[in-house]
Amino acid sequence: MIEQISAIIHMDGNGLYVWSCFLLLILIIGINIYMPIRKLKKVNKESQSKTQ
Amino acid sequence: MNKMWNYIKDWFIEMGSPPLFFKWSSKVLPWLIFTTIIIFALGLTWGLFYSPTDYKQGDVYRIIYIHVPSAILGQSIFMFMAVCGFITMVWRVKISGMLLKAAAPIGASFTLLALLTGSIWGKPTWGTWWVWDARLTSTLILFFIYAAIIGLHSSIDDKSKADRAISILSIVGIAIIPIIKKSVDWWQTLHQPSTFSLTSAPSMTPDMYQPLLVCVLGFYLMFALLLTMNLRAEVIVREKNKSWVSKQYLSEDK
Repeated sequence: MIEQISAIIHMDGNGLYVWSCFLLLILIIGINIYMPIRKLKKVNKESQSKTQ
Repeated sequence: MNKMWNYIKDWFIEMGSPPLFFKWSSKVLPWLIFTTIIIFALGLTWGLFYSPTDYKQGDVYRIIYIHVPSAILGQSIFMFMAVCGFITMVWRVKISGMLLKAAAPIGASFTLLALLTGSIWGKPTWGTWWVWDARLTSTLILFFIYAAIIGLHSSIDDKSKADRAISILSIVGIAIIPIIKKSVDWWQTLHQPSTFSLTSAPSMTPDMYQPLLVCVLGFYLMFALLLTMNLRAEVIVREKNKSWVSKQYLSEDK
């Protein structure tokens, strides 16, 4: 089991290339999900401070 | 025929009115999130873990399952933006300008991802991170056009004017797409020709291109999801002083 996992991670010495691409993908999608949420939060805050 | 066309047009304009869009997208969003996660995870798991190892490149070729879909998306999103730009200029539909603005950062992100993953793939296979090759350079120009669209929009205060300005830029900028597509045929390049096209048989074995097709579908769904989220935020930001926002959105939030 552990051998299998380490084989997947290492990918015959190419693991670093493949997994860094995967991390970049996750990072870029993460940023794109975070941005609209941040925008909406800002509007909410503004409207709350207006009503108070 | 004419009546039907008018009916379709009216339907689109009605669905595209900001309050109505916000209402129906709230219902669609959970389903979209669910389908996107399933297809996206399926494609990547299949490609990264279960597809066969390449006889020449070994496992490093698996970058294809991230690189090719992001490159396809980077170009498709630009074509989508040019269509939105055309609609904004001709019919002045408000939501199409917002769509164009909301799609730009997503397109820029995936183009950047295609450039970065291509660069990482280039190191072990070509022996270099970057070459000033036709395919790579034209994709870099596409990224700069995206950056120019984002920059131009944020530099104009009047949002409807900004929408029209970036519409023009996206319509003119579309010329880069055929150049990117044909760059591998027109010039001597290091970059390999297209992996698959609509008209010819794929150059890979089925157990390698089937997961790639699922990945491409997953990336398109991801674009639809990110676009919906971005557009909803854009609609709320622009219409925050209108009564429907405080009634529909802010009450929903509390």
